[in-house]
Parts: sequence; C-alpha cells; structure tokens
Amino acid sequence: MSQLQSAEPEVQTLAPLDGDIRRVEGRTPWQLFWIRFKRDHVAMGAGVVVCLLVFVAVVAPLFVTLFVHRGPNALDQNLTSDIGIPILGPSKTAWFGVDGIGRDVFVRTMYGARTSLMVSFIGTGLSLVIGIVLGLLSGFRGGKIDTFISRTIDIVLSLPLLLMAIGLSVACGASIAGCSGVWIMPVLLGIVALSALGLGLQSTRRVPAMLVAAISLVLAVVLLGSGTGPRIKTGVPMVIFIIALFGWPYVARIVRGQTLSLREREFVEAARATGFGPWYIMLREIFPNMLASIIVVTTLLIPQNILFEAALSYLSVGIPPDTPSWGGMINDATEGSLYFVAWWMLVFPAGFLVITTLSFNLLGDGLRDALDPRAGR
Amino acid sequence: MKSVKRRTIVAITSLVVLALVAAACGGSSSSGSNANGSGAAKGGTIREELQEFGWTSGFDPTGEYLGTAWALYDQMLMRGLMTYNHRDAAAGGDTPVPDIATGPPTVSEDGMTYEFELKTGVMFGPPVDREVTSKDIAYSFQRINTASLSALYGNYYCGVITGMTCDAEKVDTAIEGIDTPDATHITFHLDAPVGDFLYRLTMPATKAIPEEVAKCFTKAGDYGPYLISSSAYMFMGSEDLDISSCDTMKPISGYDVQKGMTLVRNPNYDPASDSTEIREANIDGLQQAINTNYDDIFQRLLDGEIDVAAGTPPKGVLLKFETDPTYAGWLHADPGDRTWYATMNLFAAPFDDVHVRKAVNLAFNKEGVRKAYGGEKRGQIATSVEPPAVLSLSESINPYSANTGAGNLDAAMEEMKQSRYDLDKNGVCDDGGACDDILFLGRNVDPWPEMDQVALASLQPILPGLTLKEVDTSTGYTTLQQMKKLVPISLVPGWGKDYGSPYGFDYYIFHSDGIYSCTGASNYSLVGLTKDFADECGIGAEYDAYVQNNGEVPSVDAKMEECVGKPASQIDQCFAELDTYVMETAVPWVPWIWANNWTSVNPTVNQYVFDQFAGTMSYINSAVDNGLAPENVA
Repeated sequence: MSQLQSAEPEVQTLAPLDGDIRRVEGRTPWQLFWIRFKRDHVAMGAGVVVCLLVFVAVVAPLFVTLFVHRGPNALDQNLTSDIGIPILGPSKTAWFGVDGIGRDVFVRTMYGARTSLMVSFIGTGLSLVIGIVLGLLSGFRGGKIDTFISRTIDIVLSLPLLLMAIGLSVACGASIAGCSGVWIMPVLLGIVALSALGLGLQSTRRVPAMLVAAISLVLAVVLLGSGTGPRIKTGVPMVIFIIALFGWPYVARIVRGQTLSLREREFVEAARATGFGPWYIMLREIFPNMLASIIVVTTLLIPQNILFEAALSYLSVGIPPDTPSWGGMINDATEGSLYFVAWWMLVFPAGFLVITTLSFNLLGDGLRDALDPRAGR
Repeated sequence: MKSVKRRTIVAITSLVVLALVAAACGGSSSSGSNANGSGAAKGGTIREELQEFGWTSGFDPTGEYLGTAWALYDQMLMRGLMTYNHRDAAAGGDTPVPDIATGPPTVSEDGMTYEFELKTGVMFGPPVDREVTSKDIAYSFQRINTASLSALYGNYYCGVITGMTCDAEKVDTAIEGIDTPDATHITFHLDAPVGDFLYRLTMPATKAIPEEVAKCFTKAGDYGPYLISSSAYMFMGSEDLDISSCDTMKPISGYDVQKGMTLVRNPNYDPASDSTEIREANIDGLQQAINTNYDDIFQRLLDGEIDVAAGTPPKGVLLKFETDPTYAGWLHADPGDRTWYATMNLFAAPFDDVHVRKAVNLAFNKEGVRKAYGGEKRGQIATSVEPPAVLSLSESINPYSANTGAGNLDAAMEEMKQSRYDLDKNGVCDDGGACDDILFLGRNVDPWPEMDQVALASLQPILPGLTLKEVDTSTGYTTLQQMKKLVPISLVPGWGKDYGSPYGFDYYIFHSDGIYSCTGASNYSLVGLTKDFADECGIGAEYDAYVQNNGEVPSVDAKMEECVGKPASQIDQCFAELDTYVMETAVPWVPWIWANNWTSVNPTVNQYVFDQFAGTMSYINSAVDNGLAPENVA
C-alpha cells in the first residue's frame, strides 16, 4: 500500500527466482501435445508396450540365435505324441510349449510379431500414401475430380473385403509366380494422370501437368496392351497389397474432409493470394495442418490391419505356413480342436494379438486426445 | 484322349469264375439269420452325420465317383450282375460275387463273350414295383454309353464291349455288344478279352436302372434325387414319387443334398433273392444328416446322439479314443485301399531328372508325415504305389529301402549328386534356374499344413529352393489337373482303387488315358505323355527338353494292356512288374502311406463290419442296438 501512495511509483523488477530470469515462452503445438500426452498414463503405457513389441520383432532372430538356438520352423517330433499331439507345454525347454510338430511356440510368437507388425506397417503406409494423395486432390480440386474419387471410395468401401481377399489369395496362390497383375501399373498410372490433370486444370502452369498426364495415360495404355506388369504373389506381398488396396479409402475420406475445411481457411487464401500454386498450398499449407488427424488414423488402422492379417492367416489364405504369424498359429491350435489338449498353442499367440491391438487402439485414443483436445471422447 | 486297346489273350478269367462258384452256390438264406454267425439283432437305425455329401455327379450312379456313394449304391440301394460281400478283405471283401446273376457267367473260350442268367424275384422298389430284367441292366450300359451323362469311368466299358464308345447322343441307343434275348439272360460281347471284366461289372454304373424313370433325366447327375431302389433299402418317401410322367416327378422326400438322406427298408425286397453273406440287412434305417460343424459331429457321437462319424476325429476326441479306456473300441481303422503320395511332374525342372525324383524318394520323411497325419493307426508306410489289399505283392516292391521311413539324407544326397542339377556335386540341387523357387503345392486343410511342413523339412536339405504354397483341396486337385501349370511337386493327392484288381487302381493314374484333356489329367505326373498331346496343351518345349535330356518318356501303356489281358492268375505278377517299373524307372511318385479309413462308432453299434470295396463302414452288414425307427432328416 505504501508504494501506491508514493508520487512517483518506483518501477520494480521482480526478484529473480533461484537467481534466473523467468520468461514466459511460447509453446509449439507439438510441445503442447507432448505435455498433454504425458498426462495420459494409459496411452503412455500402451506406447511402451508398442515399443516393446517393435523391439521384440526386431531382435527376434538375434534372440533366437543367442538363447533359444531353434528357428521358428525347426521341427522336433519327439516332443509330440504318437498321434501328433504336443506333449510339451510351457517349460524351461520351451517357454511357451511346442505345437503339433514340435515347433517352439515362443520362437514362433516372437517371429509372429515381426510378421504382424511388418505387414501392418507397410500396408498401412501404402494406404496412407494413396489415401493422402487422392484425398488431398479430391478435396482441394473439387468438381468432377472430387466426384470421381469420392465415388471410387464408395465403391471400394462397399466391396466385401474378406471375400475379395480370399478370392485373390486362392486365385494367385497355386503357383510360385502368383497371378498376373497387368492391371496394377495401368491403374496406378491412371491415378497419376488423374492427379496431374486435376492439378493442371487449377494451376497456371498447365503444360507440364498436362504433359505428365498424357505420358501417364500413354504408358498405361501401352502396358495394358502389352499384357506385361507385376505379378501378385501370395504370402506377405499379397497381404500387404490387399491391405493397401482396401485401406486407402478410409484415409482418403478423412483427408478429403479435412482438405475441404482447410482450403477455405484464411491462411490458404493468403497463400493463394500471394501466388503460390496448388502443389505448394497442398503440401506446405494444408497437409501439415491435418497431420494430427492422419497420425490418429494411422494408429487405428495399424491394429485393424494386424487383425485383418491374422484373419487371413487364420483362414489359411494369408501368410504362408512357413512364415510364423499369430493368425496362422491360432489356426494351428484350432486344428482338430487341438487347443483342448494343448492350450498354450492358442493362448500365447491370441494373447499377443489382443495385447498388440489393444495397445495400438489405446495409443491411438491417447494421441487423438492429445492432438485434438477439443474433440473429446 | 484315346481309346483303350486290348491285347488278345488265350486264357482268361476262368480262375476268377471258379472262385465265384463257391460264393454263388452259397445261395440265399433267410433274412433272419446271420451268415457270419454274429447273431446281431435286427432293427434300429444307424444315425450318421457328415459335413457334406460331396457327390461328384449329384448321386447319379452313372457318373458318380465318390466312394461313399458307391457304398450306398452297392450295399443298400442297387443291385447288379455282380457285387461284393460288403465285408473286409480278410473276409473276401475285394472279390466279386454274383448278385442278380444266378451264378458266375458262362465265358467263351476266347474270353470274348460273357453270358449271365438273372435271378427272378429281384424287384424294383416303389413306385416302380416290378421285377428287374436283363433290359434294366442293358439300360444302365446305355446310360454309360451316353455322352451327356458323363460316365466317369466309362473307359472300363467303352472300347471293351463291342459297340460301346461313350459318345452316343441318345440314351436309347442300343449297344451292339449286349444281347438280352429274354428277361433273365444277358450276354456281353467284348472287342478283346479282359481278365478283370467281372470286377468291372461290380461298379455302380452297371447296376439295374428302370428306364421308365431314368429316361426323364438325360443330363449328368439329374437322376440322383429320383433314384429307384432295386435292393434292400430305398429313399424314405419313394412310394410318393409320381412317375406317371416326367413332369409330375418331384425329388424324393427322403433325400436333400443340403440336409441329408434317410434310407428305409424297401418293401419289395425279397431276402430270398439275395444272400445274407452279402446283405444281412440288420438295420431298419440309415440316417445321414448334414452337420457342417465337425467338432459338433464328434461331440454328438460322444453324447450318444448319433451312432457313426466317419473321418478324422478332432485331436481332443482322438486323444480320448487312444488313452481313455471308456472309449476303447470306438475308433476303427480299416485298410482303405488308398495310397497317399507326393506327385512329381516329369516335365517340370528339376523333376525332369530321374535322379532328383529318386533322391526325393530317399529323403522323404514318411514316418514324420504319418505322425503329423495321426500316427500309425493312419496306415502302413508305403513302399510302392498300390495298397497291399489291391496288389498283395506291393509290400515286396521297395526300391528305396534305404529310406526306412524317416528319410535317409545321406542316400538322397548320393542320388542327387548324379543329377545334372547338382552342379558342384555336393548332393544339393543348386542349378539356379531350375532349383530356385520350386513350387511345392500342399493343402491348407487340417491336418495337412503340418504334414506339408514335415515333408518340406525333409526335402529342403537336397532341394533348398522348394517353396510351399497351400491351397484348399479342390483347388489343389484342379491345379494339378491342368497340364500347363506343370506343378513340380505336390503333397495334395491321394488315390484309391476303383475296384479290387490292380488295373482298377493303376489305370487312371499311370496310363496315358489318365491324361484326358489339357485341363483334366488324373495322371498328374504325365507318365506316358505323347509329343502331340504335349504340343496341343502348350508344353511342347518341356516335352522336347525332357526327350533331349533323358530320351524316351516313360510309359506303362503297353505293359498295362498286356497285364489286363492276362489270365486272372497272372495279373498280379504282371502288375507287380509294372509297379516296379513305375517305382524304379518312371518314378512319378513318393508313395508315403497305404492309408486306413477311420470310422468312429458309438457302442450302440453292436456289430461293426467294414466294406473293403467301398472303403466305408458296411451299413448293410453292421447292426445297431438303439431301437430307433428311421426319421426323415432330409
């Protein structure tokens, strides 16, 4: 009070706290995200589990070489009964027991993590690339391009995914070479042509875009006519292909919606007024602003794709039997209801499958909350 | 592909005929007694559940090729000139015996003519209600001869019986080589003598069929749901079939391919026209219901809700059968006259080198694959192609004796060193172009994935490039049947006899006639393939490469014709020579098991008999003590 009464108030500096000058610093969105995310212990725990699983997947061969000394396909039929029923459950010899032909369930479970994560990561990555490109194009360009892409999304989403996957696997499964994918490259080139066309129509620099579109179209027609193209092989490549083929519409639909919203925002208008072209605006202005949504979608797509891979393997149309996968192991356990007498064949792969998908889902939820706290649950 | 040629022989089937005399002279006995002295009680209903019928031709006897269908025809529903006694091999179950025929045929000295006399009193069931005549037998051959009815094993008759070509446009086309002078006599004239002709007359397609009903069904498979009985049982509801015209006929109510079938006693069946040696006919009915839940089928068996379940029990149930005294005697393992094998394509590298095929025979872990399949009860380790019940000399044919069952890697590597595909002679296939990415086609149906793995593990030391691909059973077979696919090696197939003479096993699987078309070969290894046919099917280059590297393509056609034309007493020895050639020179297979058929029965089945011909439980000679009347499950 005495200070207020003084005629010339004295400007005081705050006493430094612990001897340092305290400043109020601005925080980047990512810093804010991290602060919020750290408070979500469930999501953090899920993140740790995911990291552990990735670690297990990466070090599985090394671990087997150093400690277990048995590969995932090493057979020991002495560990099964005369009628092919495993007689060795979880023990010091085999931590998770053995299966019907004496393979080590622990080793196969570790290798199964590799398969599941590899397939889902790569498949999801491809889905993201295709979905982001088409979603951005559709939302930003609008008009006929948007209509075309949106209807394509609707069509792909309406396809019976599992049946198509089984059909493709069966059709391409009975040979080493797989089946002909002569249509793959033309379709991809068609997408490139469509993208270039869409951007070219909106850009002031139409000639290069049109040129790209024309070249892509010509190449597509030539490839289609020549009947040459990549082969679709069963196994890991096939599952990844199917995931990418049917997963992109989910991404594209979200990206399109976000683009439709963002393209009307002031900073996009400003960029446009400044004279930046559509490529720049999409990649430098719109895309970074939807990154949070994409990350969340990714963490939800990964467990979905892990389950899809497991389902295909369970149906014996996914990963080949000499490549350990959790779905395939669960299938082995259900052979002749073997799990009634060898519960370990079912419990461990199924348990890892549940833990993995649950962890990714919880992580996804946590990321969504931290990246977009207004969304709520 | 081409018609069957038959060599002339002098001596023919007299020994078989003589052997049949005893069976025929046994005559009929009353239905109340059991010829085997078991004293099994009459009555009750055998209740069986299965996942599907799986017919190949809609249960039409002319084209149907499924063993379980043959069991029903021959035991329960249809009678022909010849049949079997529907018992196991030890009780003569693989030997033809007269059925409608009064006794063995009169065979001409040149073996070209077979005359049969038919019994009287053999009646078609309702609604036909008339006596079976020689014309009904002749009519079944006319059906075989009709192209549109697709008789799958027509080659046993077409090109054999004079005038039969299997390409007649109409079913009422008379066959030149079949005479029916009156209702009780029928004569067959052959183009060339065939030592096992009586075996061929046991086949279901040759059983009596009433023209007045069957004439309405001119497409393959259509007659199945309308099948008229000539034997001890019939479809429940047969009497309601309106045969006044083709338009009024509706499928018989006791059969629905989606739900099941119920067989009841045929009121027109006269046991005096039959023999209890052949048909005890103990049960009042047979119910076969479809249940797609395999585990549930066996649970219902354990619970006493059904009496019979065929096939491999779930592992948990199997463990009970094997270890729990409560279930002792529930599981029956009977020789199924079936060989499971790995097939190798003679025109697909590196298997176009006989040393590679021999090395595979030496390395293959038959014991391990059998263990994954279910163990010793699954069958006997095979050393040759034909099951011993079909060819008794089979067990003495063992050119790869160095492999005692578990595989002999050292011997296999020594053999591989002689191959042109082992470039550095270290016992491993290492010629990159041929030895990398070799398709090993397996089944993805339990328990085959595990068997595939065991087989693969035993072969990869000499063939590291083997790559396993698994498909469902049907896709596996259709893939193998397509010549252009040139599947190098596969564990998919198995093969069972058509009838209990070696020719009935070997013919379709090793004769070049077994390569029917470019997309329809049952001779998957392509033994005996000709240049013209290879060109036609787009594998001319592979054929040329084979000839260039190996010389002549191995063929058993001539030897098989020679064997089938021999007198019955010499047939086995001749086929043993043929099989030895197959195993040592052609080497198209790794036969790994002579398989048993598994049937699980509840103790309500108080008399279990196995039918060697059909490879199933003998419903006609077994008995059940459940006191149940048949119910319609269709």
